[in-house]
Amino acid sequence: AQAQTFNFKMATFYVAGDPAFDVANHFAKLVKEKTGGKVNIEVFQAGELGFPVVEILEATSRGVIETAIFYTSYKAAQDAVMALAGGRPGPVFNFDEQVKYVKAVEDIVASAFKRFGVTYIGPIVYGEPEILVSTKPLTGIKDIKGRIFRASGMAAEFYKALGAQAVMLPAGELYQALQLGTIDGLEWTDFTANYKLGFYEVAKHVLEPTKGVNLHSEAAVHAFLVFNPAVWDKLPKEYQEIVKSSCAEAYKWGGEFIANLNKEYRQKWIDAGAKVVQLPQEDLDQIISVGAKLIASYAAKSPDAKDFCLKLIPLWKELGYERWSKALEGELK
Amino acid sequence: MPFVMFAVLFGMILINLPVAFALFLVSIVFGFLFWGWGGLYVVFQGIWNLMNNWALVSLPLFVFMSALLEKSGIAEELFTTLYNLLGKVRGSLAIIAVVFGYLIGAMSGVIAAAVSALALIIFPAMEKHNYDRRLSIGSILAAGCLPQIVPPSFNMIVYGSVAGVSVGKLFAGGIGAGLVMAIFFIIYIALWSLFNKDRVPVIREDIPLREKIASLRFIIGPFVIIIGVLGSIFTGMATPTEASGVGALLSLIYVGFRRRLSGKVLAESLLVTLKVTSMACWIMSAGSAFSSVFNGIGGRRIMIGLLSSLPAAEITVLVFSAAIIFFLGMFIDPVSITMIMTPILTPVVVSFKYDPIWWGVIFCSLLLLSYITPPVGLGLYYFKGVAEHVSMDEIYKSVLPFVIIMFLAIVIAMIFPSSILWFVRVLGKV
Amino acid sequence: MSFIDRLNVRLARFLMYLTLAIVLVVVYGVFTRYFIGRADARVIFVSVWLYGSLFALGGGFTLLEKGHVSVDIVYKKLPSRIKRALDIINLLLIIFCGAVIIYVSLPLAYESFLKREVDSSLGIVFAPPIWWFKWVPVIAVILIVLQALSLLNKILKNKTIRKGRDEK
Ligand code: NA
Ligand code: NA
Repeated sequence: AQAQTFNFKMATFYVAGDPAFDVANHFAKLVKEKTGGKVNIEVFQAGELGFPVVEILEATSRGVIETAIFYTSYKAAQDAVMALAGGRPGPVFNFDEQVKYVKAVEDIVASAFKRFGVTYIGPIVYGEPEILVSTKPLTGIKDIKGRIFRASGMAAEFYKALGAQAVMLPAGELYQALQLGTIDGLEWTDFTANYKLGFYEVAKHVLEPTKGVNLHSEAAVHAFLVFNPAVWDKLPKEYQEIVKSSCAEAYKWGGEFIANLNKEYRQKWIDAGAKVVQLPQEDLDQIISVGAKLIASYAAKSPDAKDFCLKLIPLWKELGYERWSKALEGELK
Repeated sequence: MPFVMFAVLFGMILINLPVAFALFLVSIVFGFLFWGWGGLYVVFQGIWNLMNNWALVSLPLFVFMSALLEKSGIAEELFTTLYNLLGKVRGSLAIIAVVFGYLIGAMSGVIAAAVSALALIIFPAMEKHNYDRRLSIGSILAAGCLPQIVPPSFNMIVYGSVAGVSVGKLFAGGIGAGLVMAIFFIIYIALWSLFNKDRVPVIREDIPLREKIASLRFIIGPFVIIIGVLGSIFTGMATPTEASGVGALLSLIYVGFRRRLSGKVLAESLLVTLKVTSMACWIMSAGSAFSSVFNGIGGRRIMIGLLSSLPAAEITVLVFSAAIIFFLGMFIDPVSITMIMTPILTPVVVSFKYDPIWWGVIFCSLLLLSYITPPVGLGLYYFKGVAEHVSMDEIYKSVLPFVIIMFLAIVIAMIFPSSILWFVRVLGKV
Repeated sequence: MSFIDRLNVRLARFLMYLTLAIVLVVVYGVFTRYFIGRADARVIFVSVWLYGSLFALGGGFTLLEKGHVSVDIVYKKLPSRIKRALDIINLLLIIFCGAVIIYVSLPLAYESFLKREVDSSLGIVFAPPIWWFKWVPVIAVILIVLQALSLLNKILKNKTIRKGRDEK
């Protein structure tokens, strides 16, 4: 029998210059190749289809688009699991560790997406631990105190707990805000993304994560792949399998791609005259305790969120991050 | 299909359906036919998008500031003073409009704000001094576009992150391109005024120096307001959007200080602000819906198809790129064009060894044209929204010479890339 | 003036003061951040809400005042009979657009209310309810449609009167 052709629109929250957008396109290419051109996914940039990125899940569940990749933090205040599944404090440092983390909490994340009316497929975009970019020298937590940083979501709470102030500014105003000193710094994903927005031109100090102690955010799943449930259920089983395996393949491909780019762009920052420093040993305890407290405060929001956090304790221990594991265990008691 | 969409839009506009609703109607019909329910959903999202746009918070603030200065008589006092001071300089008010446009550019990137501000404060002064209407309207519209290329410019930030080039260098190029355009406008205004002396009056008798010096006091207040807005930005006190709030407050204080802040002046200014903001934002909401439907029903695929059907030669690519930006600009909003076309066009252009910074500046300059070219030229509508007594065909006719001048300026910058790259080299040391 | 006209005029007389409120909120934000060193995260939300409500809810009044710009190039040259027909058609088209937008957005606003939707940009530090803001566009479009109906009613009623007065 002649197989039906499926044309899907995919919403993302990236613009075309973002490496993650390449991961999305790579995924679409894989699906197209493996289905012999029977499943075509057209990837759209942030806002290109008219709805704000925070509304991507609503648009998917209504069938305005068939599929999407989504950053869970956009729903942080609506659902504590969504907050925890995005960028959050923690020790996870690279792709392999992240894969283990996803396995540990996958059921909980999938059911959170279900509450928003979409079908969870899997992680698709890997995100490196985040850096803190500043216009003034940073040598440790003492320099963070009193500064004004652009940060959102859990990062805002994290930096507040360290004594900084968090403000919201839209992306379009960040460059000039750094240039003119309206803000002292910002947190905006990894070296690559920060470089591409031109921040290296106007901010010359970077606080970078180290293994065992990231700053605000550990290596996080930057985006999950989701489908409209009706569309997914109608998709033939073999194509479903292809979508799932392509998602896993793109995730792995992107993990390497993004990690390598991040190394490359770290060097570009340094070449542009940036001073890249790490936190001194004596600050680690405070980072861990602030991070664990923050996560625990989300655990109190719902039984699912609590489950999520409880799974982190053995996971971190298994990965060798004893101090983190102990700290969170202490907070959750 | 997108082309049919453009044609129908054109028809709806011609039957005098308000532009906002023409855009909504076409979005609804085509969205529903070719996308289904999703098409209707994005029409709602167009409004929601606009309602959540932080940069546009500056629009009511700018309009209010301008309306307040106009209704209180301070704008007229200022421009009459400048007109008198500049004595025999023919076309001085139109030239001042261009300078103001450039200055507003350093404060904001919102063309709706710049056009309505200039239409509110300078246009009445031009009418009062019997300036040729077409010169007045044209110069205001041309000047009102400059803010999108004079940094801060949101389009350049989008281009920079999509194309992966330095925002600082783009900004430096923008300062230059804006300057070149402004100079072209001023030269045109000066020459036209010289050849049409009867239509661009200057004061007859010389004003004594003492009187001139005394009249400087009318300039100080507005000057302090401008310094206040620019100062709050460049000292890092406020972002450009916030600075418009500082400007509105300073204007309120100044008008109050001059004892011109009556209940009537305040109420009239606020009501004008409401009307102009609402008019402009409803058009932008509908424009946002229209762009989404255009993308959703395959607009980008068609553009890629068109480009790949051309012989890949340097000149065809450049001309095609310019033409397509120009064409889309007639219907689609500039941010959408930047997002869609940058990843399609820029790699091709750069593959011919063109400088990506230069191309970014050209790209953003071409986008400016879209604001003042019929049939859908947002700048033209904003002007009409403020100056209701001016008819649309008069606006179209007035803007034509400036469209040509702007186009010439861009062509020259295309032929001589060094004209832009010089600014990038000198100012772009970030 | 019909009841609807009066409603939109009254509303506009109230809405216009939102501009002053935006000025105050924005300046307060700049002041506290720069001079006191305390950044208030609420400012950006509140000013956006004020601006969004201002422009959206002002749509009906702007229609009443013929403030929604149209291109009258052809229209101007037409005889008044055809002009009148176009006026009627255009109002009907506006009502049609409005009706569709209301039909689409009512369920969205209602769902947002059921979820008690909040804004997540700042996590749980400051998660203001935004479900009410989703009702603003719905009400705004309803006001526009009502205004269009009122204008339509006026044109239709004017039919007989116009014949006498039209050729002035
Ligand atoms: Na600007
Ligand atoms: Na145009």
